[in-house]
Amino acid sequence: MKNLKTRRASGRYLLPGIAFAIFALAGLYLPLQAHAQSTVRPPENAATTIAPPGPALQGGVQGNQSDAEIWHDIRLGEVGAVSIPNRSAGQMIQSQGEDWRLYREGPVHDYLGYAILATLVLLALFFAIRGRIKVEHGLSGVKIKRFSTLERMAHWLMALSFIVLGISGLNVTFGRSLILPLIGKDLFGPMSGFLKLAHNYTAFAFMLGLAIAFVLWIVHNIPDRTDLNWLAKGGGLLSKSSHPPANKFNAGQKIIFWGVMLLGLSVSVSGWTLLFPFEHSFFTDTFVLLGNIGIDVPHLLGLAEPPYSAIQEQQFNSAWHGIVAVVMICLILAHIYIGTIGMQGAFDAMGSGEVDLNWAREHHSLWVDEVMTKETDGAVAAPAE
Amino acid sequence: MKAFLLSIAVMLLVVVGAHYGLKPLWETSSDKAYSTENVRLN
Repeated sequence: MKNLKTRRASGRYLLPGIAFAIFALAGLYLPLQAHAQSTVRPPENAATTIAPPGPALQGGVQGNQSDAEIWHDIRLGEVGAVSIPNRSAGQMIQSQGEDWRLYREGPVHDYLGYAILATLVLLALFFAIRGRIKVEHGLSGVKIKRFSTLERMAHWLMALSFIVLGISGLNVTFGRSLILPLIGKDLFGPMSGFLKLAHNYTAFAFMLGLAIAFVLWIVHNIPDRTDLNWLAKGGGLLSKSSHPPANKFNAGQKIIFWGVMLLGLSVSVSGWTLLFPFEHSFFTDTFVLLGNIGIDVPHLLGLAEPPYSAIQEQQFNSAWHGIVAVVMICLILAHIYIGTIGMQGAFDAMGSGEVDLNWAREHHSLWVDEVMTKETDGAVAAPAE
Repeated sequence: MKAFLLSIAVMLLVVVGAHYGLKPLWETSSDKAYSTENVRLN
């Protein structure tokens, strides 16, 4: 029994002994392996930094060299080269962005707001003084066709899309200061997101309406001699018995037409560049073009000389888009006023398409004569059966 | 009234058309945006 116990005790230490031996041998072997690997390392006197090919890196590979001048340039908007499609990524810090932000939140916000308020106040004053312009000879009850269905469709297409664009656009500039405090962030955020999408897509409906209206009405909106007389008499708006002769569109309507067309084209182009950013350089091109004929716009406006970076082009686009849009809003407010509460019988032109004959004679006498002549000629040419 | 309703229909048609027509231009698909062809390593 005693011998048996001795064998069991010796067996108890056999496995740990083997394990110890394996560890001991591994301990002798692994340092040799590590030493073997260390032989492929660079020697002690070799450079520890491996620079990529090309010019020396700014600040050193490890970033331990002071490059104050470089960072100063970057802070001032130095543009570098990038190997990705995003062209704007070549500029780390765009200092003009701060100017743009201050400009947007300062003068743009304030003066554009004042412009809209001033327009509303002036129209209210005009209405208070002049009242509704009535048909002097009273409504005749006889109607005359003024605008076709296609013409009215184009008008309402422009009008409806412009209202959507105006509301959603004004929210971009004034929403945070005027709407947000009223409805809170939880509603303002989703609402602004929706309005932004509505703005982007409705823009194309506005452009379509603009194009159709241009084709339909350009013929009637070429300035002529009667416009000078109309303007000299204030369009008859200032006195009750004055009705200067006018064609299908009087000088006031021609101003609205060309204002909407030119400003609409401008706001469409700037809007397009905002929708597809960093692909155009309209401001650089325009300022250079104007500079060639002696008009130094950057100097007049206190801006840096072109060329401008892709981001700065977007900032100019943004500012220009807002300014032109507000000028259009002011113009259209006056148009809406005179087409609705400002003048009796005017809305029918775009409502039913037919206006009262007396209204037409007072405001578009030359056009009425033209229509009457055509009808008479048509009746003579095609006698009743 | 007919012209007004027609303008609403045209406007909605253009808005929906622009939404679906321009979506590929405004939103880059992830497989294209993260494609190795999009990065030049030189």
